[in-house]
Amino acid sequence: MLTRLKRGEDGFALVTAVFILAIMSMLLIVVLEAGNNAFSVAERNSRFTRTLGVAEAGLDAAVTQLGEYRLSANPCHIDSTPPQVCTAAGGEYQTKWSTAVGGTVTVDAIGYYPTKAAAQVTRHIQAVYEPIPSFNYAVFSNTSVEIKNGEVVYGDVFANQGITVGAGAVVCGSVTSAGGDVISKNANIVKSYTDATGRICTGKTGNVWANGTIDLPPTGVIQGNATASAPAGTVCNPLSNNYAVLGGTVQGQATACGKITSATTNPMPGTWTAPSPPKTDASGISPPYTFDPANYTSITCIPSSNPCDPAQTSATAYQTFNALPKANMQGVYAVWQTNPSQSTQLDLTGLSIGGNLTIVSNAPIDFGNTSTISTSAPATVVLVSLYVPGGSTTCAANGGDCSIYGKNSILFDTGNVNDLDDGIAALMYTPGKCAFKNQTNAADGALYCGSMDIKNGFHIAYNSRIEQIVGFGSGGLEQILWKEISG
Amino acid sequence: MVTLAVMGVIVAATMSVLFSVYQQTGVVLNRRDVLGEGQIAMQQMTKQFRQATAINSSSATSLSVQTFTGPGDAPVQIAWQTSGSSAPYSLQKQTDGGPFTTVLTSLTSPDIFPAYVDTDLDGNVDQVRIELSLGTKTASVVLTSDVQMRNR
Repeated sequence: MLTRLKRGEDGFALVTAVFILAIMSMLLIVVLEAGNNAFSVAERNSRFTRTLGVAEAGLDAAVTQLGEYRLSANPCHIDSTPPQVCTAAGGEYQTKWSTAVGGTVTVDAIGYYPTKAAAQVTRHIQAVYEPIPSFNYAVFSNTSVEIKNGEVVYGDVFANQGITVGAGAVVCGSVTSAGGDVISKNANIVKSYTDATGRICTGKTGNVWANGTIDLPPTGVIQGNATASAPAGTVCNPLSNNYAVLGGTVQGQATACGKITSATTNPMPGTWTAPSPPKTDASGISPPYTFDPANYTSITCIPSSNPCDPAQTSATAYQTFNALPKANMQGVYAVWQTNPSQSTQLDLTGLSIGGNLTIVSNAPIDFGNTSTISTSAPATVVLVSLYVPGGSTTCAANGGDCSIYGKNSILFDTGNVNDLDDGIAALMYTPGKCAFKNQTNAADGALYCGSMDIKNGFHIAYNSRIEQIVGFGSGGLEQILWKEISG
Repeated sequence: MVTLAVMGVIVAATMSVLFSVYQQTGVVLNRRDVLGEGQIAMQQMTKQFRQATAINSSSATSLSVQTFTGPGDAPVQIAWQTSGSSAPYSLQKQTDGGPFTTVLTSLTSPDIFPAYVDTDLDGNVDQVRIELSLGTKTASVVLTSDVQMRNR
């Protein structure tokens, strides 16, 4: 019996050991699985993050491509059949883009890890881009500017040559002359102002900057700083009438290479300040304009060509355009005239606005008998004349060889004077010459001309709605929105 | 007797091993759970702050932004904050002005947004540092993410 019992316990250690090993193995599996799980989570996170980088690489590639040429083909379109992909470090991507009115571009990019065909992670992002702001001034001239008597400008004024501000005129903003004097005739350059219509201007600098002398009458006032700079190498003389700030009152800091006679506190005569650089390029005006049909969602091209090509001109293009109804006009018109001249000008007689309107032409633009330009909806009006008259011709208030000319009082419907979002925001742009004859011309927007003659003034109130107009400047885009659609 | 003694030693050793393994398993699982929760929260915050269009309010312990949370066009308000007077602190999330809900409860520090940076010096904060200090059973693990806000 005892022997049997003893024999029956034989091997119990093995059974126990196996049992313990089994339990330990199970626990080991649990521990390893837990560790493996943590590793998997970390790896998944890593892939998720890397895929965003792939998608953003697609976004960057698309924007670079669009900046170079809006009509460029998309080599890896999201909707391509069979699917075409582009490769980035760590994965593949596809993109697509669309252009809206005003040049806003929406780009979608999908990143795939490791490939689209065997995607483990997919992330879809979308970014919206706008043209980089190009228009910051209410009045810009590549030559000189004369702000006429009694004229009111709400916004900044820039000229590559001298600027004269007439008696009773008001500039609520800054005045910058990159290449001449600033002469004020009993005018005010102010930080804030409210005119007779109740239009309010606030928050401006009221600064004047001249690469020459700032000359004020006894009652002239500059509410901001007055700086009379001088070309590099100029030996400043605090007693000199050159590069001086003379007369009137400067409420801010007065700094001059020459002397300062204005009433001011803490004047700094005999102090050299680097001048503001001229803003000009080969076309004679900044920002330059480049016509690219891909910038516009739809375009009426005269003469008809697809894509609209400025090299395809017609001797009767202006007649075709002039025959179009001008009431409630809207859309984009590109008119390419053979041998443009004053006899082939685009006539805007009877113009009224029904929506955003862009007219681009190599011919002169004439407002004809138009005076008040009304609108049925808030609209941006862009008039671009690329016509540059010959150097020996003249363009003055009574007409002549002008690129943009208004005989009557051109009065754009501004809507509520203190509402920047209603009425018409107008940009008139030409590297050539513009002139307006009669008084009470007025618009919200900006006036950019190679040179200008505005006989009785043009009341301009800068409206930021025209700061980003497609086709102007470097063609670059700036991102205004970024969001992740999925992932 | 010998058998009983041997059995006793074996059982004691087995129990010791089992207890140790059990403890270690608990540590590993706790670490996994805490880190997992932290990573999910970090991922959500990173994604939301990356798309933020505006910062409503910010401090070292809370951040409220306008951001996109789905394919919709309109940004919604999202806020993250820590609560508690001593460790462990809780991380809470609010959507569109609703009630705060607790996302995790193992923070060892309430200061989860230690730095706001204006990288392009334009006067607007465009980068936020998220620092989740997570307390596990045995140690404190810090998850950090510097989020570049794409819309600012």
